[in-house]
Amino acid sequence: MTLDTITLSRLQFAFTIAYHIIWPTYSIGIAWFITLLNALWLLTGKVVYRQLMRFWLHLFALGFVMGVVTGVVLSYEIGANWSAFSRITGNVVGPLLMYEALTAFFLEGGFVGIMLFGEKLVGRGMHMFASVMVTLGTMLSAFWVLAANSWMQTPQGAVLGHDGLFHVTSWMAVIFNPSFAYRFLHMVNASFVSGIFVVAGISAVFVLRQQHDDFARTGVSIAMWLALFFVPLQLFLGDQHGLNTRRYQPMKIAAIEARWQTGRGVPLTLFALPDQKAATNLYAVDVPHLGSLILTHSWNGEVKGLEEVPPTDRPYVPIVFFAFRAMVGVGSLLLVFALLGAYLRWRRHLFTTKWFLLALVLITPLGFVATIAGWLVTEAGRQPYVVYGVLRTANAASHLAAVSVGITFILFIVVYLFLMVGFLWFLIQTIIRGPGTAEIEEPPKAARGRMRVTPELIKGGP
Amino acid sequence: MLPYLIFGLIALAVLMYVLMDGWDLGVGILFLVAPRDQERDKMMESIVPFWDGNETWLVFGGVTLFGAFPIIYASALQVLYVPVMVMLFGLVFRGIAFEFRAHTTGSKVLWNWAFGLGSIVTAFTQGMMLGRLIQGLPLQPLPLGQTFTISLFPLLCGLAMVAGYSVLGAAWLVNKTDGTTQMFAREVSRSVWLLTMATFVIAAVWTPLSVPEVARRWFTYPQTLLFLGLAVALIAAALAFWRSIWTSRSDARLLRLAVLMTCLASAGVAATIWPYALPYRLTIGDAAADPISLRFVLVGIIVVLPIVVIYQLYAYRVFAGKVREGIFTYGAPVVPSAVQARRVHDRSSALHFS
Repeated sequence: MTLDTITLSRLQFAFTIAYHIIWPTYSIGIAWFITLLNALWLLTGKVVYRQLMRFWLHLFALGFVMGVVTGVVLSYEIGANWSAFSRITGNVVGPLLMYEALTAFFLEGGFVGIMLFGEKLVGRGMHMFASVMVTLGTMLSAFWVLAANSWMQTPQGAVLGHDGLFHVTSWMAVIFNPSFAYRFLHMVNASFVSGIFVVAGISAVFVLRQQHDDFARTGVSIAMWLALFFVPLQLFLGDQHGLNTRRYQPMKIAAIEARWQTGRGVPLTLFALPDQKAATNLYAVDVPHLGSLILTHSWNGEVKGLEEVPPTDRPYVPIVFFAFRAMVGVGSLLLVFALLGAYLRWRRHLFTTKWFLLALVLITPLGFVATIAGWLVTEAGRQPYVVYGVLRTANAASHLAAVSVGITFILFIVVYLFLMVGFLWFLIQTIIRGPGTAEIEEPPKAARGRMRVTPELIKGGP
Repeated sequence: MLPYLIFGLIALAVLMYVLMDGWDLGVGILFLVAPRDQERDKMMESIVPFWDGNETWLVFGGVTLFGAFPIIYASALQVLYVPVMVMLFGLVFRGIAFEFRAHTTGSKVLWNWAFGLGSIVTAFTQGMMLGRLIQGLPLQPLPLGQTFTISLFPLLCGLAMVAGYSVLGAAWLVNKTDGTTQMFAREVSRSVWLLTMATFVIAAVWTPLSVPEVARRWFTYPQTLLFLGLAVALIAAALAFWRSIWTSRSDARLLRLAVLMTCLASAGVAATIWPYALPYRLTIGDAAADPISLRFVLVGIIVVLPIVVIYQLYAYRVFAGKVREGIFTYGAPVVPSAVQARRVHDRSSALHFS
C-alpha cells in the first residue's frame, strides 16, 4: 500500500466518517430515550422521570455537539477530497444532502437550544414538543444520508450520461432504492440498541455505588425492557438486510463469508485467515451447509463466490470478514445480556446481581463498536466501487497533493483523539456529579433580574 | 431562470450565515480580549442557544451548492483545500468549546483559547477564501509549489473578515448583555470599527488594481452608479454606527446598523461577482445541475425554508432580552451573588439547565 493521494483520502475519509457515526448513533438513541422520559414524566408526573431526563439532557448535549462539529467537517470534506465524485454524482447525491441540512439540521439546531435550556421559559408542553422535534431531526438526518448512501450501494433511478455525469430520471426510485429501507431500519435500530446500553451501563454505575436509588434503578429497568425488544429486533433486521445485500451486492456477501468459489450447500466459515492474493482461506473452521442455510434460508441454496469477478473487482476480504464477525459477535453478546436481564428481573435480582451490573458498565460502548464494524462491512464490502458497479473509488478523488492530505489526516487523528479524551473526561465528571435532586425547584427570584451588583463586580470593575 | 433563482437563494443563505454566524463568530473573536471570565461567561451564554442553528446556514449553503451547482462545489473546495480544512478545524474547536467550557469546573483557560482562536481562524480563513474567489479560481488545483504560497490580498481579506465579524459581535453583545460586558463591548467596538474601515478601504482600492475583471465591472457606466451608491450607503451606515456607540438610546441600534453594513458589503461583493458562479470562469447558467435536480432542490427550499425561518425566529424570541446570569449555566440554579457559592454548587450534585 503506497501512501498516495487516493489512499490517504480514503484513510482520512474512513477515519472522519467512522468517528462521526458514533455521535449520530448516540444522539438518535439518547434523544429517543429523553423523549420517552419526557412523555413518561408528562403522563405520570413522577419526578424520577424528570430527574432522569435532566441528567440525560446533559449527556445528550455532550454527544450532540460532538456530532455537530464532526458532521460539519464531512459536508465540506466530500467536495474537498472527493471532487470527482461530487461532480459526477452531484445531480443525485447533492440534493439529498441538501434535504438533510434543510429538514434535519435546521430542525435540530432550531430546537436543541429550547430542549436543553428552555424548559422553564417555554413550559412543559413546548419543551416536550422541542424534544420531539430534535428527535425527529435526528431521524430525518438518518433518512436522507442513508438514502444517499444506499443509492451509492444500490443505484437506480439515475442514468450515466455521455457527459460522464449521473442524471436523475426518478427521485422516488433514487430515494427508495432497493437497499434503503433495510439500511435505514438497521441503522436506526443500531442507534436504539447502542443508546440503550449506554443508559444501562451508566445507570448501573449508580446502582453499584448505591446512589440515587430510584433514579438508578429506573434507568436500568427501562433500559433492560427496551433491550429485550430492540436487540432481537436488530438481529432480525440484520438478517433481512443480509438477504437484501445477497441479492444486490453478492460480492459483498462473498467477502463477508470469505467465499471464494460459487457453490451450493456451502459451509459457514466461523474463522479463517483469508488470503486475498491466493484467493483462499487459511486455518478455516467450517460448519457444513450452515452458510447456505443462513444466507438463502435453504439447505442447498447457491452462494456466489468471489471467483465470479476478476481480482481487481473484489473487495479486500479480511477487513470485511473480520468486521462482520465483530458486529455479529457483539450483537450476540448484547442479546445474551438482554435475556439475562429479563431472567434476573424475573428472579427479582436485577438490581442486586453485582457481576451483572458490573458487566453492564463494561459493555457500555459495545453498541458503537458493532455500529462501526457494521459500517466497515458495508463500506469496505462495496469496494472497489463508490457507486456500486459504476464508479470506482479510485476515480472519485480530488487531484490534491498527497502531502496536503497527509497533513490534514494526521491533524484529524490528533484533534479527534483530543476531543474523545475531552468527551470522556466530561462524561465521567458528569456521572461523578450525579443527577440533581428529584424535587422541582424554581431558581431564586433574584437570579432572574437584570444586572446585580456582586462582590466580584465591585472588586474587579473596569 | 431556475439556476438564477436557486443561486439567489444560496446567496441569501450565505448572507444569513454571514450575519448570524457573524455575530457569534464575532463574540468568539472578542472572547480573548474580554476582561474576565465573568464577562466571557455572559458572552458565551448570549449565543449558546443559537450557535448550532446559525452554523447550519453554512452547511446548508455548502450542500445546496452541491445539489444545484455540483461543479462549483467540487472544484472550488478542491482548489481551496488547505483553507477549507483549516476553517473546519477552527469550527471544530470553537464548537466543542461551547459544551466543554460549560462543563469545566476548573480553569477555563484551555477552552477560552479554543473558542477564541477557533473563531479567529474560522473568520480569517473565510475571508481568505473570499479573497481567492474575488481574484478568480482555477478549475483544477494548483501544483504543490503554489498550494502553500499565500498572496497578500487574501490575507488582507482574512483580516477584514475578522474585523467585520467582530463589529457584528460587539453590536450583538451591546444588545444582549448589560453591565460590564456591555461596557466592554462598547469599548471594543471602536477599535474593531477602525480596523474594519481601514481594511475595507485598502481592499476596495486594491481589488480593482489587481483584478482587471473587477475594475471593468466597477468603472463601467452605468454599473458605476450602483457601486457608488452602495459605497456611499456603507459609509453613511458606518458613520452612524460610530456615532451611536455611546449615545444611542436603544441597545439594538448598533446591531441594526451592523446588520445593515453587512448587507451592503455583501451586496457589493455579490454585484462584483455577478453573473459568475465561479468568478470569471463559469457563469451561473454554465454551472447549474440538471433541471430535474434543480426543481427538486427548489421545491424543498420553497416548502421547508419558510418553516425553518419561523422556528428560528421563535427560538430567538424564547431567548430574547438580556442574558440573565446563570440562566444557561450548568450547575445549580445560581444563588444570588458570590462566585464562591456558584463554585460550590458547580461541584454539588444538583444539575439544571435552566
